[in-house]
Amino acid sequence: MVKELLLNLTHGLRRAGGPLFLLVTLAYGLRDTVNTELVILLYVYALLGLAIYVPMILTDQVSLAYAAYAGIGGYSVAVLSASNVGAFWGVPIGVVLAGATAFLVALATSRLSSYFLAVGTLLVAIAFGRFLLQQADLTGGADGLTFTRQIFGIPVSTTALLIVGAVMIWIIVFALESLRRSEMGKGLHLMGGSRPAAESVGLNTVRFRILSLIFGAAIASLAGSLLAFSRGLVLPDSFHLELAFLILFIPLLGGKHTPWGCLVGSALLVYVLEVARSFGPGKLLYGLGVLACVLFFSGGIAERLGSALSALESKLQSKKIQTRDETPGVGVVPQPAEAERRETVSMNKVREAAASSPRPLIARGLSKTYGGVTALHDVSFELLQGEILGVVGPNGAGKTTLIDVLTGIQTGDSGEVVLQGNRLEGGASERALAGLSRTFQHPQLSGELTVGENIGLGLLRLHTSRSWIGMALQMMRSMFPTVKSGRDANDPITIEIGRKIGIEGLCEDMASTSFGTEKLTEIGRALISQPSVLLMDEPFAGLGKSEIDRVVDAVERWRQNALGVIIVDHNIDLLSGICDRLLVLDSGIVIACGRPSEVFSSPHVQKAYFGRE
Amino acid sequence: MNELVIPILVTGSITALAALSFQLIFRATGGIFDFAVGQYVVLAGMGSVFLSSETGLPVPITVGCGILFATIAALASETGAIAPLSRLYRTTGAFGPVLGTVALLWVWEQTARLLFGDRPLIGKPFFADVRFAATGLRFTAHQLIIILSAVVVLVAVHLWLEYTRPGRLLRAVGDNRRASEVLGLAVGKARVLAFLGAGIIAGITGVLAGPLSGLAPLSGVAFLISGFVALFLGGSGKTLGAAVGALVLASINIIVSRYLGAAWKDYCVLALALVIFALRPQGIVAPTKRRPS
Repeated sequence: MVKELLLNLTHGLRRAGGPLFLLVTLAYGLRDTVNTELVILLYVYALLGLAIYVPMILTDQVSLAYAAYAGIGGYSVAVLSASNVGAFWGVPIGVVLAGATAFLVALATSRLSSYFLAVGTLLVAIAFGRFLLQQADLTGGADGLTFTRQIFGIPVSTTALLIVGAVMIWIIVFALESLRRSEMGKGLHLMGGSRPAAESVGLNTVRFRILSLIFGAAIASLAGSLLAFSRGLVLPDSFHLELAFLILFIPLLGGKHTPWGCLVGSALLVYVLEVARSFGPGKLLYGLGVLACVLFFSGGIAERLGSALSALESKLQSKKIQTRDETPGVGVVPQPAEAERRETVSMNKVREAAASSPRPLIARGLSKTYGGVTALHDVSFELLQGEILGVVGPNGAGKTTLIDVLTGIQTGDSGEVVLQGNRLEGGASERALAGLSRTFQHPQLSGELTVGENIGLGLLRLHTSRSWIGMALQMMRSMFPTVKSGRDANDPITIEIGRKIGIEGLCEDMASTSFGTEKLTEIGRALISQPSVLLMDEPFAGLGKSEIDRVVDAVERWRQNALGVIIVDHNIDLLSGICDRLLVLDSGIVIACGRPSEVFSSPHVQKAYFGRE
Repeated sequence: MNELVIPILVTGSITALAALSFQLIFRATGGIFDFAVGQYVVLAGMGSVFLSSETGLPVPITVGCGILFATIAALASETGAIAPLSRLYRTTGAFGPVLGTVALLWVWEQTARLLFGDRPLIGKPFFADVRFAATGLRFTAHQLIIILSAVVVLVAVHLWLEYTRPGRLLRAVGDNRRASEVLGLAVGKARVLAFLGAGIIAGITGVLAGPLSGLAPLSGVAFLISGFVALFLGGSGKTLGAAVGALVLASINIIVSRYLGAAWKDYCVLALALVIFALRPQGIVAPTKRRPS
């Protein structure tokens, strides 16, 4: 009885800890007017933490402009309050201005490493601070702007702001929680780890990075507006660079695996800042404390509490199960019939397409040079329907470059690629959407997801939008609580693919699996969306005999349905066995192409491989 | 002419030194940007001025002590925080260590405040009464020392990185930490060397900049910003990049301040940075890329 109660309690705390904490802070704020301002400040920090949650935690980008975006929100309210437009309209206008600024900076830096974003946004923060001081007519300069806190003539009380803040946090946390669980969110997470992998499942990483930064800037602007309303005053000091640095720690201190962590992190921050203010070297302790947190609680405090609770829970649960009858597993029972039906439909589509084009992939005159080195020179070939084409050649022959140029990871200097009669344009994500799927020499998977979830990410290819608006809508849709979570180990399609490739343990964490499983998982991710043409970069490298057999089985089975497969590998014996034709590259030039036996009798090949004329 | 060229050269030299200090750490750690470098500069600058005014020790000793402070701070940052963080976060990229360096920024800022006080300390220029005039330019001995020091340090670091064993070790470790470990290279030692070098360079920057405008605990942010921007404008992979980026940045700052007013310089730097990032992301001086395998 007691155990039951304890179990319910820990389970409840783990599930509802965040909302409960929000309610506690709200109650604390409502109790006393002195507390109200403090709790509103806490909410402002929490909102700023949530603002950088998507760009920083999901897609791994460091932006230092979020204090400036908050400033834009705050100053919009203050400036418009003085005019006859009214303070309220400052909120949406601030959101638009902050979003537009974020868009411009992100656009200029989006193709580069996140450091360029950090430099660009650092300069935005400085320029914004300069603007506030310089345009004193508009912004009041160093003294800031004071305004009467009213919306449409009705005075705004701090209590009302407190409640609005709490509701905003609640809504945004739930939106982010849904996003994180959704297929889209997992795709964004993959993007943070490996851009080529995200591109290979059809995500336009440049645009999604920009969109996530804009989304964050909008929330930051709302936080700034809330701060402005709560004080009836905006000051340049409230939004300077130090705040931008502080914000970075909020999700990290609280715990990055749930957006609720931002609330916990900001509570910690506000509390420590209050303490620090009260005695001298407080900031030194604060710096050391933050350092210690980063070092010793790398997952954040909320995380630690959560995992402690779940450990307790499973301890209690294991005792309980012994006294109970066996209960069936929680997972959804797979429905092979339905999976089969869905698969047949898509297979039919592929077959129809195959019937209409006997040469699904044609490459004409592909060339690529790096600096002065020619990696590909005038490479042309055709992939015949249903065939497996092997690409071989000595080290540095241009094999991987060929796959990169075909899939659009690298832009070729000249030449064209035609897939089922359509000339392929654009980057890797567009080509993935058009029907090219690939695997990588070094598997590029998300270590924080399970094997099944990683495989399921391949399905993004089937329903990712090509337009800006479509992508934005797709992200927004994923934030509604009604959104389905991404495919996981219990999904019938995932199970089916897993069975075909021969992966056991779809529920295992990707980080704890073997190299062979990683390779097979990537193949699963590439195959689950039924691509027209599959490109594999060294699928056998580093695999043992039994794993090689499984890959060969999977490819053999796949060829019956697919338009074609291109495999790059060193293992010529193996490729001769499974490929219909081989393409031999040497120093970027095609020196032979044909059936394996023909190719090996070619004098050019003999020379390249054995040094004989 | 005189009012433009000398300030550009002087500010450019100081910025180039700061950028070089960042760059050494950036290259040896494979992409960690140490936000605390500006604070090492401040510790050296404030420390040397504090010592000479409090104890009256001769200038060479106080200057040496200032550089020592910066070096100690840099080495302590690496061994106490950045190296453990790099081990902890090796799978998730350079993100965790970078946040750690932001915390270090506060730690050293407060240390400077506790040791040397809150107010700006302005040092005495070296050889204050010696002036030169050449080809129509007039400059003080201190300005000449700054420019020459920057040139000497840049050349020395370039030669060290390109032609000596420790320098090559440092580059190898930064290029590919895992491969270096597999090859049995002393990864930890290479990083310590880089932080040692960065600390000394930051120290030189501090003692040279101290007499120009005065340094306070909060001045570190200015070095952080100028060094960071100069490094990425010029290109982070080459020693020359730091110098070119710093000169470009200094030229904009001084020319724009003079003709358009000081307020415009921040906007111009932002605009230029965005244009360069969009059009020439590898920076003005790009390393010659070898063919990826």
